[in-house]
Amino acid sequence: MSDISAADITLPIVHSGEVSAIKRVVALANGSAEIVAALGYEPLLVGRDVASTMPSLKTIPIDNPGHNISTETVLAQKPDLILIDSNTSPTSALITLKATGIKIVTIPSTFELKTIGEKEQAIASTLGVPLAGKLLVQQINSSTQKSDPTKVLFLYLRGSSSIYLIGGKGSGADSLITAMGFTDIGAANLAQPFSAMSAEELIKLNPDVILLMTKGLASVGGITGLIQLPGIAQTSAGKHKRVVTVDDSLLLSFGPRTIPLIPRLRADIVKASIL
Amino acid sequence: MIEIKKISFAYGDNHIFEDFSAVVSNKCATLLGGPNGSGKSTLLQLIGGVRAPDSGSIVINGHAISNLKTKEQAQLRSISPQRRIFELAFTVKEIFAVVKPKQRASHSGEIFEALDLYELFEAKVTELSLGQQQRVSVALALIQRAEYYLLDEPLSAQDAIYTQKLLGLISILSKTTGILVISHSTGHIAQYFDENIYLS
Amino acid sequence: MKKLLLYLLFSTIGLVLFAFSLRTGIVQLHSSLWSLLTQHTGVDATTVWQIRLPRALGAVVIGGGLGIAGVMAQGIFRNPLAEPTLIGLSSGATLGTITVISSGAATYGSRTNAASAVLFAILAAVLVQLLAPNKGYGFLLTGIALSAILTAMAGLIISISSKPGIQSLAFWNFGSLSLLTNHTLQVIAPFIEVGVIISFFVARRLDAYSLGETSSHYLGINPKRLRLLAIIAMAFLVGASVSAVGSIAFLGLLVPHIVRLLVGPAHRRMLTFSAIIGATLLLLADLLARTIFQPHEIPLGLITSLIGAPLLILLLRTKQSQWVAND
Repeated sequence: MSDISAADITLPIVHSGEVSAIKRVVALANGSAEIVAALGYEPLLVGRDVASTMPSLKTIPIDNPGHNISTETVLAQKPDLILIDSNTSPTSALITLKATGIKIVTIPSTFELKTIGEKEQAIASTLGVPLAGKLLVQQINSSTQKSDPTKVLFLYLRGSSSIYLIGGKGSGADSLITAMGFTDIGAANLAQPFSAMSAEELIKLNPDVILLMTKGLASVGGITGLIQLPGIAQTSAGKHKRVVTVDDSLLLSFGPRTIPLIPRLRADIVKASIL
Repeated sequence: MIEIKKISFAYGDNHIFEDFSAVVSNKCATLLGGPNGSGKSTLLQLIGGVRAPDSGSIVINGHAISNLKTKEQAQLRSISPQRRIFELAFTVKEIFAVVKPKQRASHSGEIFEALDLYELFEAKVTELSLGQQQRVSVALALIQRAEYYLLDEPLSAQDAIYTQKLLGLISILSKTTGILVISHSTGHIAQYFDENIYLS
Repeated sequence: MKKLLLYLLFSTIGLVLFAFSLRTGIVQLHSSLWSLLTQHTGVDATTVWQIRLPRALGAVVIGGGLGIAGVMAQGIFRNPLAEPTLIGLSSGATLGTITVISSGAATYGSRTNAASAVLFAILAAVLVQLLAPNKGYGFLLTGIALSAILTAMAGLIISISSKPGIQSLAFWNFGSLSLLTNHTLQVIAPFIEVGVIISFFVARRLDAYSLGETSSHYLGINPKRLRLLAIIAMAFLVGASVSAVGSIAFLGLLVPHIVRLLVGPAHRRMLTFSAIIGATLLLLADLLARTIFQPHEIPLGLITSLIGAPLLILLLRTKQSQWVAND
């Protein structure tokens, strides 16, 4: 059992010295506030997205609690730029915001490691700070880690609403697990990003280590509750309680914090695998 | 002896009995007559314990029925109600099986014989005629071991032949037990009874 | 003779389905069930003994119990429409389960959880008794109304609670055997056993009771006590199963009708058969639920409704009814 919290990973921040013409930014695209901060322009942020959970951003109000835009909050902040992505909702709120004439820019959304750079560069060029973008992208270490035979399985759990899902190809976690050099046993067998968890599927996949979000584990009643879900106790990971958790928004943020997360999470999984 | 001691009973404001007393004797056939609404069936329900009098008491062989359990009441008296519900497709044999062997009266065979019920044993009770259903219902009361048999309109759906047969059975049974028969038309059968109670 | 054959026939169908349940699933078995009998480790053995066996046994125990509860319900309310879900028992049990889980007093699958489901089921059924006008369909209508209230309360608690293991309202309303483990099964089995024993104990009296309340009183049966015993029996059967798998639609309504056609209305015989038929139907339903859209699992209640409702309609149309309306 190990856990990586939001405070455990610090945001790498670059300083290019460029001056942006933008004065007030509301970052609604998933993880975009973090990128603005990493580019060195945190003072421009007046509103942030719910997934940018860096402790240093705590004082900036969240404008899309529960992933739904609060239009009035956004307008009250008088932004001159709003960053959104294809998942920003609801559409009706976007139409209202567009009608006010505020500049709204759509940033590519990413659930893969290799496109983090595109997302960072898109935000940098929107802010008119290309050098900062270049510096930040340079930090992405393209070399994959040493390969390791450990089979890792990502589970998305929300016990209180009976959501039990197995991560497959395209879950987001698959690109992290692969980059760390492990086998994502879910992605290797399941073509869907997520499929309903069943006892038999778990036994068939038989992971060595289970990767979870911190609140996901809590929602099923911690490790004790997890082991009681049918099929878990019968896997190699369940038998030895090899469970690794990462802060919910950190795990799949796919932004600047993802890069320092990888070696840290890799170490946790290696440690768990020899339990 | 069934003693009805000064009972009063009313449905709301409709007073059926006020300080009414009567006796049903053992080894005797009693006919209970009276017009519709005079309280014949109500009296049977009071004796049967499904209703309780507002005042007064009913005593069977020295036991006040209000002090007896349902099962103990059934060991003293057996009642054929005016109507039984035959909704489920039981066979006639299954209907009689409701009375367990150890509760059966020794004269059960004679009852089945006299009322031609053996031949109906495998028939479904729901498919019988009204008259046949009534014979099953009356027989169900008569095959229980009890000291008094109280029959509510046992003849209403019977033809002349079965009326004769049932009255014959009543005469025989009244030699060893107490019998009370309710009938709204008493004239032509009164001769078969030893005692008469008339409600008005 | 005919009944013995029917008995053998349905027991055999049940056994075949049982074996089939153990064999079928996402994990492909490489060895036969016989050879797995002596094994306890390995993927095949784990899958069969720890995952599929509790499910299949659960289907037998719960299906059998719900079949029996259905016979009891129609018998004690002398109504072919009566069903444990209609008279407040299921929704009472759901509320009982959810209340203890959300308050943290018990966790899903625990003995306290099952006991509180049984208790709430009894309370709900007694409440229906007290509230219902004593005539016509008053009883069933009161049951339906109270069920709606209790289900709404359960939904309310679920939506404001975030306790692990509380499950969604869909889980409780449609039912699923997917969470059954050997442990949960061991917890609920004794409760169901109590329900079965009481049911068989009062079955004979239900025959007499079918002739009418007054008539049964004259036969030496205390109707109030009989009704109370029947309610307790049903509460144990339904409460225990709801606490583990949610409420499963239609089984309690359908099984008695099938059984009455096969073996007639005598309650003791009906109970034996309804246990077999209920178990067989639920085994079939669960098998379908987890294989039709594999690896997706369909809520069990959808399957039992999809099979059960047409079967009931067919039954009522093609065969002469065993329940004659007498007015």
